[in-house]
Amino acid sequence: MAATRRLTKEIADIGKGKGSAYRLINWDNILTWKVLLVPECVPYNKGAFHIEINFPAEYPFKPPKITFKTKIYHPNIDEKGQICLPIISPENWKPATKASQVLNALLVLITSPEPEHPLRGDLAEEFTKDRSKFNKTAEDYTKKHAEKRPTD
Amino acid sequence: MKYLMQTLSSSGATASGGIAMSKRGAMKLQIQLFYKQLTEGCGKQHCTNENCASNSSNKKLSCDEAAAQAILLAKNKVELCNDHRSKIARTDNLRSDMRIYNNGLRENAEETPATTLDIKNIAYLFHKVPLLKEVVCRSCPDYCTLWKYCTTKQASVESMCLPPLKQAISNVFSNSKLLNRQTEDSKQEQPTSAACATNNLNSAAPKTIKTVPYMPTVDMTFFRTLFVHILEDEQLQEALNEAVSKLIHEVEKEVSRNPNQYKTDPNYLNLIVIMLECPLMQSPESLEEVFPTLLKIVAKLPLATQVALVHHWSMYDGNQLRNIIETIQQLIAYQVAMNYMDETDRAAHNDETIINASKALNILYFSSILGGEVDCTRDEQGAAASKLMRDAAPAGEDDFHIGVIDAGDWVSDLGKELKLVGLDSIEPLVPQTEFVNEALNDVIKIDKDYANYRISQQGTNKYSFLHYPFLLTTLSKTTYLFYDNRVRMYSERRRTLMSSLFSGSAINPFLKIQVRRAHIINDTLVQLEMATENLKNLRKQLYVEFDGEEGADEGGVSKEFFALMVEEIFNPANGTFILVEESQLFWFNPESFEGQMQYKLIGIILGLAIYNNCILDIKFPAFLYKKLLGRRAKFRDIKDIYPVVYRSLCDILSYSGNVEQDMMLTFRVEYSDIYGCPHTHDLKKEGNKIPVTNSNRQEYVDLYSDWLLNTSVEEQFNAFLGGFELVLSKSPLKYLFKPKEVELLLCGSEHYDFKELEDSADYDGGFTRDSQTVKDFWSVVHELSEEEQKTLLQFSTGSDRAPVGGLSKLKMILARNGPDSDRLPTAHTCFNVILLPDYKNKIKLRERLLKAIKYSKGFGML
Repeated sequence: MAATRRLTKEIADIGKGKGSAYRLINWDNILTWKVLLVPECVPYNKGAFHIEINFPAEYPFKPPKITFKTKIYHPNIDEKGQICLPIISPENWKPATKASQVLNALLVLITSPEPEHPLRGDLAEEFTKDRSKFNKTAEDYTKKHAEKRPTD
Repeated sequence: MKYLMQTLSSSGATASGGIAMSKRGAMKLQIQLFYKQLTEGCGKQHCTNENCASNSSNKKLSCDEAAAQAILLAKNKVELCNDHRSKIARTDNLRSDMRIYNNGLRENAEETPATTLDIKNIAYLFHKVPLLKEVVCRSCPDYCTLWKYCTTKQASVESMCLPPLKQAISNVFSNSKLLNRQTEDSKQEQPTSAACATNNLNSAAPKTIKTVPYMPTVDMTFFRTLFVHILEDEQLQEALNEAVSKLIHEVEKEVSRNPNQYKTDPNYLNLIVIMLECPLMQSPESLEEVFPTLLKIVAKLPLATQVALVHHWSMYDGNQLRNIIETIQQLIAYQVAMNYMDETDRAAHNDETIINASKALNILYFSSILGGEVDCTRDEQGAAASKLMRDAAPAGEDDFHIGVIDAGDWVSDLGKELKLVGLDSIEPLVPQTEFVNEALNDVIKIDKDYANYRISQQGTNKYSFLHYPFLLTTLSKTTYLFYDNRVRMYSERRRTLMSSLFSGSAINPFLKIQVRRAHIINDTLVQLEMATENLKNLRKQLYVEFDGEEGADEGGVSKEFFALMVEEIFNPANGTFILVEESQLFWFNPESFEGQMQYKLIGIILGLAIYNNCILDIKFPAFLYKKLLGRRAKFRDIKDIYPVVYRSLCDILSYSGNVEQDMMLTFRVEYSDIYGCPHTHDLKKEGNKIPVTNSNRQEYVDLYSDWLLNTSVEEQFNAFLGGFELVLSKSPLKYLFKPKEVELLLCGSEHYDFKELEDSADYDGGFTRDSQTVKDFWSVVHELSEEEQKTLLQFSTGSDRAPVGGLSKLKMILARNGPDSDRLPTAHTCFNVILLPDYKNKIKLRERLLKAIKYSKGFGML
C-alpha cells in the first residue's frame, strides 16, 4: 500500500521531533492527520493552533490539503481556515516532498506573513501599514481563540 | 493565402530558410575538410600544422577521435592548411590538374604521386562520391568549377571567370546524367565517422528498409551550398534557370516515353530530390511551367519509388522538409489564385497541377510522419471486443447497390506500403497543419469531389481530395463526412422503401425514437436495444418524438433530445461517469454499478450524434477520441485528465535521489472511489512486495498509466466503443479525422462566455461591483482576444478550461490589493482569486494585467 506505507514512515519520522513547533496529535485514519502547531514567534506565541492535514488516496501523486481548525488572525489564512501554501498547490507539488517539509513551510508562512498575496486584504493592509496595531490585535485574538500551549 | 503571399514577396530571391540551411551546410563542409586533413593530411611533405596528418610529428588519430577533433576545429574556426589551395583557384590550372589526376587514377588508383597533391582538394569534392574514373573524366571539370566556386566564394569571386562557371552550371544542370554523376554509387561507400558525426540530419537510428529497391544517394549538402552561392549572382542564376528548365523538360519527355525507366534507374530519384530543393522553384517564373512539370514527374513515380523517397526524406530535419512543403503549397495556392478564385465551374480536383502537387505532398506527408515520433501500437483488445459486439448483432441483408465503403478501403496505398497511418504520428517532423492548404479548401467543390470519390471506389482512376485528407481543413472534412452520412441515410431510406414495396410490410424508413421526458434514458435504452437487432436501423436518419408533444423532428427535436440525454448520462448521481476535479473532465467510473449495456448504449448515442450531425456538450479528455480510433492511451495522455498526477510521475522519472527510499512506492496502487472507499490494485503479481526503485521506475510509470487509462475502465470502455462502432464502423471518420478533430466534431469548439464570469463574480477587500477599478477590469477583460482570455483563466484558476456548466460555476473573486501602485495583479489559483491594486485608470490596469498574464507561466513572487 503505497500511501499507507509512506505515511507510516513519515509519521515515525515526525514522532521523533518532540518539543518542536508542531506535534502530531491523532492519525487514527492514516489519511487524516490532526496536528497542533506551537509557533514561537510574536504575535502567535501565546497559544497553539489545531490544523488538519488530509492526504488523498493517490498520495504522493497528489498533494495533501491543510485546514486550520483553530481561528487565527493572519493575512494568508481566511476565516474558514483555508490557506494557500505554494508547496502543496497542485501546480507546484513534488512527490518527494515530505509532510515534515510541508509543516515547516507552513510555520515559515505563519512567522512571516506574505501581505503581497493575502487571502484577507484588510489584514494585509493593516500588517503593512501599522505593524504594532496588527501585532496587538493578533495577540489578543490568539489569547482569545487559540488552544493552550502544551507544557512539556 | 499564406503561401501565396510568400510567393509574391519572395519573387525569386532566396527564401530565408535557404540561408539558414546554407550555414549548416557550410559548417558540415568545414568539418569534413578538417576530418580529411586529420586523417589523410594535406599532402604537403613537411606540413607544420599540428592538426594535419601530413605533419609527421603528429600521432595518428582513430576515426572517432578525428571526427571529434574535426568538429572542434571547425567550431573554433581554426585555419585549414592547404594554402596552396588558392593556386588551383584559376580554372585553367584546374583543368590541366584534372587531366593529370585522371591519368594518375588510371595508372594507380591507390597511391597518387606528388603531382596530384593539389588535386586533393578537388578530390575532396567527391568526398561522399566515389571517384569512378568515368565520372571524373566526364564531369569533373564542371563540378570542379562549381566546387571551387562554393569553397572560395568568400575569398575571391573576381578570381573566377564567370563564363566558365556559367558554362559549368549550364552543363551540369541541363544534363540529368551529368547531374547524377555527382551522386552515383555513393551508397557503396562506407560512411566515415566524420560523415556520421556531421550527419545531423537525423539523430534517430536508421530505420530498417525492406521493400526499397534503391535509395536516393545524393549529397544534398553540396547542392544546398551550391544553390545558395549561385543565387548570389544574377548571371549564374539565369544560367541555372535555363539549364534546369531544359533538364526538367527533357526528363519529362523521357519519362513519358519510357515509363519503365524509373524502376531501374535511381538517378531520377536523385534528380527529384535535388530539383525539389532548387530555390528557383519558388520563383514566380517557374510556377508557370517548370515546377509543375517537375511535379508531374514526381506524381508518376511508382509506389516502390515513392517509398524510397519517403525513407530518404524522413532523414531530413523538420526545417528542410518544411521548405520543400512550402514550395509545393505555394504552387497550389498560386494555381488556385490564378484559376479558381472567380466563380467558375472548373473544379480544382480536375486540375492536373494541383493533383500532381498533392501527390507529391502525400510523399512528404508520410516522410514527416516516419521521420518524427511514431507509435504504431494498436489497441488489439479493444478492437477485438468491439468487433465481437458487431458480429453479435445481425448485419441484416447485404448492402444495397450503392455500396458502403469499408473503413479499410480508406487507407492510402502509400500508407499501406509503409504500414503507417496519420494516427500513428505523435510528433511529426513538420506539424500537420503545414500540410493543410486553406486557399485550396476555399475552392474545392466538395459535392463533386465526393462524387468523384465514390466513383473512384469502383475502380476507376478518378481523383478526389479525399485521397489526400491532410490537405483538408477540419471544416471541409466535416462537410465530406456530412455527405457520406447523408448518402448512407438516403440509401437506407430507399432500401426500406423498396423492400416494403415488394414485401408489402411497412418498414419505417427512419430510426424513430419516442420518449417520455421524465424517463428519457430508459425509454431510449429500450428502443435502441430493439433497433440494434438490425444494424441497418442505426444508419437510418434519426427521428425523435417526445411523448405527447407535437414537434416534428427536422433536426431541432433531435438536438434537444441529445442535450437532455447528455445531461442525464453525465449526472454524477448516476455514477456512470465521474467528474475529475483537477481537469473538469469526465471519465468512466471504474467502480460503476452500471452494466455493459448502459455503456454500449451511450456509445451508440455518441455515434448517432456524429452521424446525425448534432453537437453534444460533453467533456471527455482528448485521448478518449484516440481510444475511439483504436489506440491505447499512454503515459503522456495522463496529462489531459490528471495533470497533477502526470507531473508527479514525471518528477519520479527524473528524480535524482533514491526513489525507493524517498517515495516509498510499491507496485500496488491505492485509490479511492467516488464514495471515498479505498481500493488497491496490483500492477504486478504481489505488487505490494515489489518496491519502485530508480531502475524499475519507468516500468512502474508505464504500468500505472496503462492501468489508470486502459485496464481500470476496460470493461466500460470496450462496451462504449462497441456501441460507437455499431453506428460508425463503416464511416470514413477514422480515416479522415485526427482525434482532436473528432472531439471538435462531437463537442464543437469551446466558447467561453466571460459575461457569465462577470455576473457570477464576487468582490473582496474593499471592491464592490460598482468600484471604478472593477468596472475597468471587466471592460478590459471583454476586450481581450480569446487567446488572452484563456490565459487569464489559466492565470487566475490554474487551468484554461471552463468548469462543467460554464464560467459562471467558477465563482471568481476580485480582491483589492492596496491602493494604486506599480505592482502587478496576482492570483490565488486555489480559490480563483485575482488580487488587483486599485489602479488609477483603465490604461494602466490593462497594461499591468496583460503583463501579468503574459508572464504567468511558473510560480514565484514578483
